[in-house]
Amino acid sequence: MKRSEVTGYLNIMLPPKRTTPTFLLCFFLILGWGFQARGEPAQPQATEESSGESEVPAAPETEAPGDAEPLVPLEGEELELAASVFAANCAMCHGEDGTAAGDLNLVDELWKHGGELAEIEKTIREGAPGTKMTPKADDLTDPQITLVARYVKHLALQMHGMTPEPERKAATELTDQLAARLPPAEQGEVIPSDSIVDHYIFGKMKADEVPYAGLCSDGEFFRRVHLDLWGRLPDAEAVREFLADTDPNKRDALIDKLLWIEPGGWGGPPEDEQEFSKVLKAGDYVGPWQVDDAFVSKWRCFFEDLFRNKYTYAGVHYFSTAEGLREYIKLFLQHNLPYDFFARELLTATALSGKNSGPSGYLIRNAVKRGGEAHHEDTCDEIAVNATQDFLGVNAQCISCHDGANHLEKSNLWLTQRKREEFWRQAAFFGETRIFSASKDSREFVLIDGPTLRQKPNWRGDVGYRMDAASTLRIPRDATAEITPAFLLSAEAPSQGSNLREEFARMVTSDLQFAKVIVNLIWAKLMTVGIVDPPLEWDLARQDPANPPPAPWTIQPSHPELLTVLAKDFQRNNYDLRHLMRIICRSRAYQLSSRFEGEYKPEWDRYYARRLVRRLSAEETYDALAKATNVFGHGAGAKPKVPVRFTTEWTGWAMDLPGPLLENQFCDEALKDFLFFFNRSNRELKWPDSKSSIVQTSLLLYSDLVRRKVLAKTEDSRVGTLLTQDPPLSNFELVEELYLHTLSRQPTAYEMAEAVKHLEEYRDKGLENLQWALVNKLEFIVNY
Amino acid sequence: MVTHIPKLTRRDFIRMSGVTAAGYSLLPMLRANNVEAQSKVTPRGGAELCIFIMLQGAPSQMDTFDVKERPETPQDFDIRTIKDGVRMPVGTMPRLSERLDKFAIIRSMEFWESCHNRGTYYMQAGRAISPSRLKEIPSIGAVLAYEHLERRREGDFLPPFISLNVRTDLLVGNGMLPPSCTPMGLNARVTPPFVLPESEQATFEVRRDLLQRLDREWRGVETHRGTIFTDLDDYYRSAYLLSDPKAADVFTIKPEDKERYGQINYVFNHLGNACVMARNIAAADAGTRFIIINHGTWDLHSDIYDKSKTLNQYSLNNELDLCLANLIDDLESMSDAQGRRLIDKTLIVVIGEFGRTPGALNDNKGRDHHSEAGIAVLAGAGVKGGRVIGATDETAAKVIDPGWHKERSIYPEDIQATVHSVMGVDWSKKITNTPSGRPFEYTESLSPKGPMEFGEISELFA
Repeated sequence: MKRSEVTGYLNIMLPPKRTTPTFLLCFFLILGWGFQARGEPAQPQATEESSGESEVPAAPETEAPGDAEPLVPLEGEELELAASVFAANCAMCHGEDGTAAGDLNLVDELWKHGGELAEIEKTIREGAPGTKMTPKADDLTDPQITLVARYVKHLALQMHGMTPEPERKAATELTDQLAARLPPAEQGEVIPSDSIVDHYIFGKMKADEVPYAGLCSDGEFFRRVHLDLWGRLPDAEAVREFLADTDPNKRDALIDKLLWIEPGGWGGPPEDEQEFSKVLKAGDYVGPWQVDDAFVSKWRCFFEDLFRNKYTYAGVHYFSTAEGLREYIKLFLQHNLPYDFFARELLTATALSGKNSGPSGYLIRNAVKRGGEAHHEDTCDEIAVNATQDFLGVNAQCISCHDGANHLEKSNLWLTQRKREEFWRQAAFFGETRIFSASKDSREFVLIDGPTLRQKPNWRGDVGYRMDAASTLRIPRDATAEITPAFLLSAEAPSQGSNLREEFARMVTSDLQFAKVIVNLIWAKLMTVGIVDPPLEWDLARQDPANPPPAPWTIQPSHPELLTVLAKDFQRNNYDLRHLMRIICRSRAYQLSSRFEGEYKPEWDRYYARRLVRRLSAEETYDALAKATNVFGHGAGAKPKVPVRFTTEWTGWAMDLPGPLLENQFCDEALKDFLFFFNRSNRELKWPDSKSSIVQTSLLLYSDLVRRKVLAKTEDSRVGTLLTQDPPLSNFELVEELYLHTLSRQPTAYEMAEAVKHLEEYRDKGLENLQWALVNKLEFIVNY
Repeated sequence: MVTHIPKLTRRDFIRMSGVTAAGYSLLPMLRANNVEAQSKVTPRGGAELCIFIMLQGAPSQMDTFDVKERPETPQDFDIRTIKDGVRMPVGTMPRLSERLDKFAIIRSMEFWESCHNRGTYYMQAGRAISPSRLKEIPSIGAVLAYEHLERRREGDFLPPFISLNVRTDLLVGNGMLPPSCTPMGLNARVTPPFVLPESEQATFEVRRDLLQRLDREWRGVETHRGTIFTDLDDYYRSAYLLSDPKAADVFTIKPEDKERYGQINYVFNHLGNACVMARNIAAADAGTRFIIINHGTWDLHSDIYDKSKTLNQYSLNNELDLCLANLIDDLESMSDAQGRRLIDKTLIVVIGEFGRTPGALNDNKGRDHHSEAGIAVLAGAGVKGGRVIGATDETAAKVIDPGWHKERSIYPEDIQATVHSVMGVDWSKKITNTPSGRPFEYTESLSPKGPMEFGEISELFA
């Protein structure tokens, strides 16, 4: 598609009338909510209607007087007119969308001068005595006043809605702000590949006439795929080589190299570890115990975050089990074990000590232990909540305490239909799983199948999930109910005499949902936002386009067919994660530019019409600093390496650090604080997030940690090395080198001129200043 | 080179509160929340700032502010009646014993939790951990920041919510509230990152100038979101504000302060530094509304009276005694431009996450976790000094006299409501459009034991 055609599309694409789906959705939900709050039975039909005005007359009997104000939604030209009158007369004080702080806020449901339409009109007409709100009767006509009053209500109602797809929304905002500063896309038309990803992504854009960005440049791709698959900046020299390489298939070849895929398939870790390390060029070879494998490091961190692999939680210490799980995840990644096999191992492992069985750490991590006493049923609940979310994508937290009905109507249709009893049945699969430690203070755990260990007075040596057991974490169970195991998704019961956990693992991994969840998680990591967003909040009643949910619900995934096809492909390919990553990275969809020339509509991000920019994770940010400056230590008198794990493993990469607590003992405080303030996962309930904060900015702008890394006199520092080359590098060469090392790209002509001017004025200090400035450019801490 | 400190207009701030502190990662929760008042309560007001000292690890009530003389109590605690029958461990808290008329003691505290993580969370969030709501529940500091956002003035160079020494995994943040309400978390034991040595100031100016010039290429590029250079300025502006030399002054510990607040900085404590910074923040009056300070750990499961250990009841009592007494003295002696004493507009709260087991020491000569009794200390902002609310039995095991109008033990929620009230915030408000759909009540009315009516402890003031 030529650029001019893109612009042409834009004009055609502008809808003649602005529709307000969010508004309608909120409107009906509130209506439904209102009924319920008044003690009336919920009236689902109220939420199933698609036309607003026809539904309103049904309401009056149940509405209190005054509440029945007909809410005629503003639409189309009327809405645009209302918005323009508001913008011209009200926005300067109340904010563009009425969200100004405090008394000026129009959308916080605090109606100081009355919230009825007539009251709002009156306030506009006559002003509010004692405030800066002056009468507007002279400025606005009566119809305008009515319109503005309705617009105020419209704004307030919009505030009620939950934010669907929060991560997509955040990514859109970030991309919007950054895209225009990023390198331009390659010229020429994007030709979708024949991969299934492109088939569905570009197919849908073509069908809906959505334009898309151009292909990202080679340099951009090189940095992007390194950060996505390895979590590290590429070597400057490698950037240069890649740019000079004329092989048309060099992008595919690079992906295979990063994934260690050889012609014909997965190559596996090489016999000679030194050779492996050399080829990977990932950093230091760190001893006979460990190959410094950036791929394993990045994805181990991902799975440790996902499985909340932590060394201490709620007063229980898991040193050896966490260690074991960490090692097992590494093994899984190094040897490219099938993901379903991996999951089954995690769910069915037994152990006589956590250390001796890596996978057992997954279940042991859920042990609920208070004052040395194990709480068996609480442990089963925790396992059920976590395994259901990790492997099936369903957040069962809410139904672990109460039925979904009357609670989750606003967020999850499938879960509103689930009962707490169904959750108990899911948890009962672990009724025969016994997790305990030999003594009160032991940090070793035993994980076996057998009779349950209970508090002494209750010891019955019994087996199973008992409904009369005390609940220390949740609302008490219904002691009279009879609970037998049944799978939450299908109600399937385990076969007679079978091992319950093995049955559970079989049911989980054989369900297509299992494959879909991991496919979507990996997709979300590589494409910034999941096809289902957020990726661990699936609504199973909203997945099948052939069987759509009642209005106003919509299908949850942006590309349901693609998700299914990718999941089936993943199954057919032996649940091979590298295969999945390879398909995604090779697609043109992955390789689009973040920059879109011309007017862009945020809703196109649901089509993946451009690359969505993502923040680097905390670990990636620190490692980017370390790699760019070649200074891996930090702080005054810093050690060159960060010690990790008790005695055997040393590394300079933040990505290699184990869970947060261990660092209290072994890790530099400054690094620990840095990672915290950049929002790493705490491996409890906090998933890593990309929120930015004033402390983050301060750390990059001011901290000793960064200042020290850019100094020429710091041992091995990039600036120092560049300045001591023989023969000496010219100012032009210095600038280019520093750009390649720090931003993995060449400077623009403008940047080169400015930077050289600076070097001419400040000499050596100038190069330090330049690297400081480059790590403080916004593009440094994002992957674009 | 001229130091350029960007000045903020009010409109800038409104924009910043959404954009700047958010930086370039705007989150969906930026929009104002639906806040509504549930009932008619009248906040007391009077305080501009709350300094919340969290005695992490849980202090022993019968060895501090609800002192009991028991066979196991060491002689050198020197327990004496100070006035009106109020007894204090003068041997370990000499300064506070002298200043009994400057703070109030609550001896009828009761807690819901007896596990540190959960208890520490409870103290900050005012409710139990709920995994499904964890992401959206803000700290009380964030709520106060949110309530006071509108009052930000030009020249306010400090963020509204600051945490000092709070262990990173224990700190509750802004939850669903705007990123501008996020705590600026600092370690008082080290100089904050934005305090540059004077020798570095000039270099910083040169670098900032270079950074701005390198980015100038993009200046004026219009996108559908507006001029991008404006966004970039916004991102750096709030951080640049901290390069204000006044900010450096606030966070720099002067030798005379170090002397007065003591060198007894134990492994994770540095309470002295934190209190000096808190005092300076109060004096700077630069937009901060809530400071949470972590002190501890008070988790003395073993060797509680053993002076050879770094952390023991003596060392902890001594440090708190010295720092709190100095903090109160300093705030009393300092006044703002209007001549108002800082102590009169600063509320100090000192509290742990629960109490410790009373009676004889455990096998390790320590005390374990105990939720049925505990203490809290409040001072400033109209709190009547010398007051003691409530009483426990002879071992400090159970509350026998609640000592206030609700005629039950005082819970963390009541403390929270009191803080809200003194800070001029209606604690019965709730936010209805939360991500989970469950309303967020400023003071949660559903306690772990079912619905309860929590409220301000008015006895502290009358």
